[in-house]
Amino acid sequence: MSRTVALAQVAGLVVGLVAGCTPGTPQTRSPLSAAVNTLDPHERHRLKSAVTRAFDAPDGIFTGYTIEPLNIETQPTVVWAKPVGPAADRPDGGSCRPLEIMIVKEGQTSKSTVTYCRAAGSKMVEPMS
Amino acid sequence: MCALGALLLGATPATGQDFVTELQRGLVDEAALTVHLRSYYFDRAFPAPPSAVAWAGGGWIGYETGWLLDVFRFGAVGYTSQPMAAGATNGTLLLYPGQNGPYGYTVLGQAYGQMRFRDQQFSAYRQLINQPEVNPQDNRMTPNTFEAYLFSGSFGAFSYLGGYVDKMKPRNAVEFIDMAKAAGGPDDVKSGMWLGGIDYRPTAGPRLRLSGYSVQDILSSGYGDFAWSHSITDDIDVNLRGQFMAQGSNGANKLTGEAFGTWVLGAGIDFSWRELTLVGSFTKTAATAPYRNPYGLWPGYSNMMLRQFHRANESAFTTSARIDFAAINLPGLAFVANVTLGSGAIDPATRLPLSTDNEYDFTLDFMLADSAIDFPDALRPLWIRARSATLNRFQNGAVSTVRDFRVILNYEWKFGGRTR
Repeated sequence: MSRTVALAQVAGLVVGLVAGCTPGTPQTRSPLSAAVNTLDPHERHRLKSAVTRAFDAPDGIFTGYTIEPLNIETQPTVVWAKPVGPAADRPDGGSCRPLEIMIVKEGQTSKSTVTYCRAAGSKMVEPMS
Repeated sequence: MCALGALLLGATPATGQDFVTELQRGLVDEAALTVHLRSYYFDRAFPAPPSAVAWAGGGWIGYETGWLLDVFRFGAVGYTSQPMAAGATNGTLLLYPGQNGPYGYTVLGQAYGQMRFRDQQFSAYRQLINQPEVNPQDNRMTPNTFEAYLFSGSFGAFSYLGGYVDKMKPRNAVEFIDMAKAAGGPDDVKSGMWLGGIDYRPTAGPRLRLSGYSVQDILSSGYGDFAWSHSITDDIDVNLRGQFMAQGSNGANKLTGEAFGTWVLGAGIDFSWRELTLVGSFTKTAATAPYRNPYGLWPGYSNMMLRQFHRANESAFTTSARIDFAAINLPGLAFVANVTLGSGAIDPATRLPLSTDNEYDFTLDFMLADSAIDFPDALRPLWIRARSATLNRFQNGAVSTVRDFRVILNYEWKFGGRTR
């Protein structure tokens, strides 16, 4: 092994350790869940309303809200949900449906398709676990 | 994560190919290009001429690499604001001020390198900062940006930011200036800022924020707030808010030449019923000194378009009504009316009363991204905002009025930006 390669190995080891060369995978969150985390309680409530209404809407019809922030100098937040497929019945009597979710918060747009489910006899719609 | 180490460990042709692939991924495939266009018309009429009037166009272009080797990222944003019509005057903060009239400007507002480890990150050089008292204040053509060296990240429901801020570029400036000078300090004082903040944002329960900064010989400031929301029914939410902030001179007291300190206390309650929200809040400023917000938008509940209502001893009641026109099948359209009634302001040096101010602000927003109208997809990023403000100042039996009218268009394209 040449001296250059040995130095490169040491440098690689040091940089790798500094850069976090440890077992396991990086704990990065999905862009949509990160966006949901930035919503304030009122915005989360509106997103929940949008998802609940979109669950029963025809395909492609979105339900959206524009939420003015408390600090009016900043940009309004937009949340909307749109069904992108038919509801599928579950054996327990509930149903699940894929919804496209979009959040525009502080100029950042996050969009993702999430499957939501509703238990039999319930009004509540929850992400499929 | 181990790619850099692996690349350096073995200098084989195969790793050379890996390196090219990694560069291709980071610099092209996962890079993001942002083009933001903005048009801003601003017209403010004072009790006596001249008015401050301008129409400016511009925006920014930004490029950000993907996470190279899952560790490093780089980005830059160039901002510009140019006059769109003759007759622009100084005082609007839309353009670069000058003796022969305001001028267009262009500035490299962001140029940063970042390094990450799991959910923790280090950012260096020119960047945006978003803290309660240090923030972009993006309510003209271009935002405040900062030359800073900051750690940030999250642990569960907690997120944090902390580090050193060396310089600041105010909204319509082309140069980064010392943090002491940005606060209005004398030219012979050179100071940077130590900044830190914690945000606790659980999925349920109260949200808490704490933030503070210190600029040696100039100003130290601390801020805290909480917000707690409760759903009474499926349609009705109530939100309780509170805030406290305190600041004062430090070291050699170079900002005003003497020691000072002050505080602001605020409380608020909001009721949301379907698409209607009613807001009420109160703020009180200490009688010792006005509150200062030289590094961004003021986070107080009484922050309005023309005044912040944070003069010494000033009290302010703010009421607000917010309507989302989704209620009448017009999603994307929203309206806000804000009224703030101030009282009790004094000059802290003479203890004499200052004007009693009342301000009335109205904002109409149209977010095409949320509109039910079948606009072409290319128009969906458009955001149109129209605003007006009226400030009545009562003093010695007379009233003077300031009127302000603005129309702002924003349109943003974002290309790429895939993450992994």
